[in-house]
Amino acid sequence: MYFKLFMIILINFCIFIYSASANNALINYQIIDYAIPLSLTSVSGNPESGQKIVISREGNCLACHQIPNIVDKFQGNIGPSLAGVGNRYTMGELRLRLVDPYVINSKSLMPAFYKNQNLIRVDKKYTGKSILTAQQIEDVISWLATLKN
Amino acid sequence: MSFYNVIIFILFLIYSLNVFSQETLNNKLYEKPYANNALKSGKYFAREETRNIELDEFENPGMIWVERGKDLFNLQDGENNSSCALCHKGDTNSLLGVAASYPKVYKNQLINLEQKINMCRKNNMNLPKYKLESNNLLSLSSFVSYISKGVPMNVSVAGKAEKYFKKGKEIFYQRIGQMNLACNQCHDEIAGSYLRAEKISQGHINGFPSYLMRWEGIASVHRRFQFCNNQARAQPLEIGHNDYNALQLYVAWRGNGLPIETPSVRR
Ligand code: HEC
Ligand code: HEC
Repeated sequence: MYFKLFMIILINFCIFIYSASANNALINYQIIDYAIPLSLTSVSGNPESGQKIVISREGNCLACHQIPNIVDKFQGNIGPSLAGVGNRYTMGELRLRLVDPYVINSKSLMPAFYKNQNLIRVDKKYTGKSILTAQQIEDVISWLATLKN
Repeated sequence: MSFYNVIIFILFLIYSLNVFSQETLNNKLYEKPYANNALKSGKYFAREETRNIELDEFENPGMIWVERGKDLFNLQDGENNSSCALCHKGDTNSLLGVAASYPKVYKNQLINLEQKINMCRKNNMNLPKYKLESNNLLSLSSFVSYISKGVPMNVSVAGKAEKYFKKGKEIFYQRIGQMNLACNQCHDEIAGSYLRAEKISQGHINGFPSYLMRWEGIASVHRRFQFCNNQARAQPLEIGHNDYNALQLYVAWRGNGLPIETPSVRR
């Protein structure tokens, strides 16, 4: 009797722990002057992996942006060209534009890449997850910062 | 001025304000993103090769479904040996223009053309319903729409349809999915821009059922909605869902006036 009860509680506990970890909690960040000045992670961004994320389905940035540094026939033009963004913005400003562009323009078509709450009817595959992880954000912006011309 | 005068004056003021705000709300409700002379069918946004395939009926692969639909329309089936053609007197004349008015309210329920065809089978022919999105059902709806080729879309959003229209409009403007995008953000605000290799159209449905090359088959409006939901990484609804019907009504109304072009061809 007590064993059964114990097992039920144990199983429930495991499910609780599992679901809490599946809802990958996001790192807190601070917005100052339309920028997120501090890195989201302790490992500094890797521009090479950043470029891969930008091109691949993970970031899918080419769906909306033209990036002249990348050779690809099919580049969208919904957002502004990313040529020279490294000159236009600081790292902190780039970070905010990826993490939560709605702070700058609440009607933005650009998705918030580091947001997992207050979203409606999210596909089950993606519920509780942000589009990119904190490290991926750091990687992407470290590559964007190299876009100077 | 007596006390009663003041009361009556205030009541009248409240009443007229109410009427006024109701009216402005209604004006807003029926505001169209595209004026009639700015409406553009999806084929103008498609690539030239694709458009040429659509316009050439011998090459248009959607015509296979239309032909099959015509055969099914005339097929006598079941215990009663009945067919669509028996009730609808041949084909072309009696159903001319009908497709342009769907979705439509029928017995307090909004239904689309596919659902109407299934109701005919069940209630009038005593035959089982076709599965939604099945080849047979889409063949029939393609044929019935093809009969009305060139007839301007003309759905009604008045009377009993109004509440579905409002619901559909709400869905059209609601941001959804991990990408947090609403239909209007792509199809009203940036039509003509490129999403990757795809030129975004105004999102009209006058060419449905539509042949999609990527699926090598014909697709209903609801299947297209599912696909657009996927792009926003939103949970799609089931084909035939009431909310998709409401959305279909709103989207059809946005494009009222565009001629039916079934079967359209897209990438
Ligand atoms: C669905 C469309 C969409 C996608 C996908 C998208 N963006 Fe954007 N982006 C926009 C739009 C639109 C803007 C313009 C600003 C606004 O509307 O908020 C923008 C603005 C930006 C800006 C600011 C540029 C400027 O000159 O002001 C940067 C940087 C940026 N995006 C980077 C990215 C990166 C990196 C990715 C992929 C990881 C990405 N975007 C994916 C639509 C998109
Ligand atoms: C991220 C952008 C995006 C969003 C959000 C989006 N769509 Fe689309 N939609 C597209 C693209 C790209 C196509 C293919 C090109 C075309 O025909 O417009 C398309 C095609 C369509 C078509 C077919 C048009 C034709 O002529 O064949 C319809 C109808 C449509 N969308 C309706 C909707 C509805 C309704 C919603 C909201 C549930 C929606 N879309 C959300 C990008 C989007």
